[in-house]
Amino acid sequence: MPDATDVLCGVDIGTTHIKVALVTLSGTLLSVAKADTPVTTDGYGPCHDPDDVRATAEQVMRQAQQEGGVRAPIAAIGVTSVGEEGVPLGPRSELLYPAIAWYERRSSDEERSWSAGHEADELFSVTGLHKDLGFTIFKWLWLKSVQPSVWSRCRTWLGLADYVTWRWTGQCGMSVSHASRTAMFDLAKFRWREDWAAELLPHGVDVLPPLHEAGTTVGVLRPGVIPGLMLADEVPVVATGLDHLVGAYAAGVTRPGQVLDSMGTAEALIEPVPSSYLEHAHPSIGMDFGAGILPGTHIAIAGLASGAGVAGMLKALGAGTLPEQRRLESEAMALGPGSDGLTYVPPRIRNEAPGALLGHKVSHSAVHLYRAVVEGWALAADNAMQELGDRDRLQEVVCIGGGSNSALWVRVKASLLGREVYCLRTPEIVAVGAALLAGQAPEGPGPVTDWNPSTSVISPIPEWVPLYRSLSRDFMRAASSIHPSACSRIYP
Amino acid sequence: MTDKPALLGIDLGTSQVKVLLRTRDGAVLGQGKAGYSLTTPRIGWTEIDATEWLRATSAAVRDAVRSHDGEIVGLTIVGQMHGLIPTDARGNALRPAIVWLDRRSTAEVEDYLRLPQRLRTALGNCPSPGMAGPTAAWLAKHEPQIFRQARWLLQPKDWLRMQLTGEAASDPTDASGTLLFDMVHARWSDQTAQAMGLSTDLLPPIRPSSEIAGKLQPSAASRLALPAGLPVAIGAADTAASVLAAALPGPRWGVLTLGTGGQWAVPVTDTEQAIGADLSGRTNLFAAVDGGAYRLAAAQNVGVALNWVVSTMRTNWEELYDTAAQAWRQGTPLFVPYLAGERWDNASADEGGGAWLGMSLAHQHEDLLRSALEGVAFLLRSKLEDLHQAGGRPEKVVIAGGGSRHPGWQRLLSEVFQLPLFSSGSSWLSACGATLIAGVAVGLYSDWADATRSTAVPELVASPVPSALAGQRYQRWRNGPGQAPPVVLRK
Repeated sequence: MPDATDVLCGVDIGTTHIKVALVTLSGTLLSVAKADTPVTTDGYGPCHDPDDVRATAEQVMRQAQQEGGVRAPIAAIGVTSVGEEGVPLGPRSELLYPAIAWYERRSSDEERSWSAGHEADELFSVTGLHKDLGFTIFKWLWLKSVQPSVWSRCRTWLGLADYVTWRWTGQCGMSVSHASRTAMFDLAKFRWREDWAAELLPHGVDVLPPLHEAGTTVGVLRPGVIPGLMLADEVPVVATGLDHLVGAYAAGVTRPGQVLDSMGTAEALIEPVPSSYLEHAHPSIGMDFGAGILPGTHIAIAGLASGAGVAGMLKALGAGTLPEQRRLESEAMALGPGSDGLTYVPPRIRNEAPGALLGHKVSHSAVHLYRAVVEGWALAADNAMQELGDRDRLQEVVCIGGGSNSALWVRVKASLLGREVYCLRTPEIVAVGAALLAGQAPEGPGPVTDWNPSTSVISPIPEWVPLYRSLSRDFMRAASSIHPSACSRIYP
Repeated sequence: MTDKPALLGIDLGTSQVKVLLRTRDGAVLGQGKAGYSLTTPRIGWTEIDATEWLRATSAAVRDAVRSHDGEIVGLTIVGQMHGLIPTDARGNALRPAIVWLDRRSTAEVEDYLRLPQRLRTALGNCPSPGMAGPTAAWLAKHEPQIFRQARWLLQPKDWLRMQLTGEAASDPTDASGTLLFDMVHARWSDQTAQAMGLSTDLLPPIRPSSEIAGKLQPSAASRLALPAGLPVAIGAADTAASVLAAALPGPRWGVLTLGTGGQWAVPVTDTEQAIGADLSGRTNLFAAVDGGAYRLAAAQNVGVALNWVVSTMRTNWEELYDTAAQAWRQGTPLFVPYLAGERWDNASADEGGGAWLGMSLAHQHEDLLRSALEGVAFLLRSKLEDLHQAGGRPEKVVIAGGGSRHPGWQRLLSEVFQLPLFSSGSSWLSACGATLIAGVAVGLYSDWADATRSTAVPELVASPVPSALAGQRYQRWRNGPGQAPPVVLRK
């Protein structure tokens, strides 16, 4: 049974699950556990009650410790979460409203009125972000417009991970990479955009929490705040970053030329980019830019709704159970590239443009539909990835997340790229990344010395490579008829 | 058991044969059906071993008459149009039957389009692959040995009837769909046949639908478990039989039959004027059983598209039709049902023209089902509009066929067409029409009016509710994907 002197704990608050990983200082993953992320509603759409989230996180931490038989105390905690969502606190630090889910699209009216008052490229030139209803700034505008009495009382805004950290330590702080997803962060200057905050927030920039680099301590766990957990005496709770980036960190994707393909409910394609890259960045580039995990670094990121899209199609096809999905997957694998002429053009989430399924014929079955949807999302990701630079510069693609368990999906990706891709098989890699970052805190027990994630190499299928080269051209023809575009890039 | 004389109607469809045993007054005494499979030896070819029709018909007739011990006084076969079977003098098929779905004769259709306008106008119809004339010309060119051996070129129901009676014959309703029939003079067109390298000597004599073709031969009688010597009428094309059996109460009525495909049929009041009124290919003009004519607008992707949705989306028909009760919504995806190809104007799409457009991540199983119903209803409305352009404008519609019975589906169709829909007297309309023809042939009915009085009066099943959104969605469909499959797919 694993015995260790000190254990690092990573907590990952995801869209569908809250996950915990316990890692030793020598880099051994001792235990993982997870539970469903509790979801509620405010009558307008899905939300998260941050106290339910915190309570679930605590339960999963106890579960990881007990079920993993981990007898060493937790010496540092890192918390990561999805981006773009958070909660307002009132004058007495009372919770004023639940966290509106990051994928919520309720604020289209507010986005339009904000855009009317700002230059078209202003958002991108300041924040590196393209307009997207998911960004926190548009959730603030919605609260201001639809819940004015709530908004006027707001004194503090905390992200979801920050709220949990605050409840545990009494200290406020937000990682820079989370801050860079609010659309209120000046990416060149690495600080909050104060004039926008003054315009938008009830008490200006004072509402926003202090910024923290990943791996720095926000506060120390208050005694007795998480009952039933074996803890060291002084446990720092550490700022980490946006969940996808924390996963990239654990996967070793930290330098330009490497791409992380984080295949979760949302699919994020992330490449660390040189800061000089930003000087030439133009909004016509489809990627968003943001702060990276390592201090002062930047990343390019493209988001697709692939995981949700594939899961939605499985549900629509009545393949709700795992055995049914496995059968579909294995039959779709045997089908070969192109799904016998069926083409799926995924929706473009950013501009609310729906997609299409084209080329049905009588002989097509659910298997064809499934393969077409997987291929469509893979082709969309391939298209988005072209923005990350020419293929020669691309040295390594690493896949993480639930989608990377689909043999079909990663084979299609590898065959599209015409090169090997690496799939991390270490479970709950994002939670592991949060634990690794917890080890970076100066107040903690020290960094992990020897971290080697378990990886499998997925090779392209040689016969598929030329077929996908040609299918990629057909796909672009179909996609540009559904999503008219002035350039060769359509996604994200 | 009944001592009333019974009439037997056989409807030789594309995928199955239906047999109806019925009294003079319309009481159903027995039913039977049996299926068969088409083969596609090459892409675009559709064939069947004709003996499969005989096998299935024997089984279905035996089922229909099993519990009937009264007298059967007459028999008629009606059936699918356009197909072709070359036979020897005794009616033995020399090769598999080429059926209406077949698309091999595109070059021969081009030859047809080069015929003098006078000849083309007299045909009343725009040439299309799958019709008997182009198929026969293909056969002459590509299978000359078989063509030289052929004594007869028969259509499906005529082939089947010849197996029962030994007599070769056709009738105006089927002949008018061959592109070898002069609609003006109601006879085979020698000039057209010659121009296409054919001869009308290969075509059987044309006789009225209600004439007795011959007596049931002993060997066939034993196969079908029927008395030898039973009078067998000439019969008719299936759509002509269904128009007859719909017993339309007035001149502004039409019939919509929903099965694998969907057909609108409206009787024309002035046949002479109607000939040549629409040679675009959007509609057809065929001879009717009673000596007049009717205009037909056909859609291929009705039951075939919905059946695909049911099977692919792993649902059932009830669940599919239940979505018809949902409210109209602007954001529902648009379904393009051209899975098996479709025809419009002079063009046609190959299979693989189906699509769902406007799919977002928020759409679920039920939204896709609902959109499939809408897409098929839109396709049928577009065919109704084709009918309008050709001068056929029904104000009331009898709806029939296997795919017409669900009340929610009927209401949705009524909303899309903005027309009241009425039930038909029989769910097997063509087979019912066959029994009416048999009754007239053997003198059980004095004339067509007497025959149609035996069918139930159409009853209102759905009244149109005005819906602006339904109209807007139809226009979006009609102006976009409904016009043709998405451009990207026309490779």
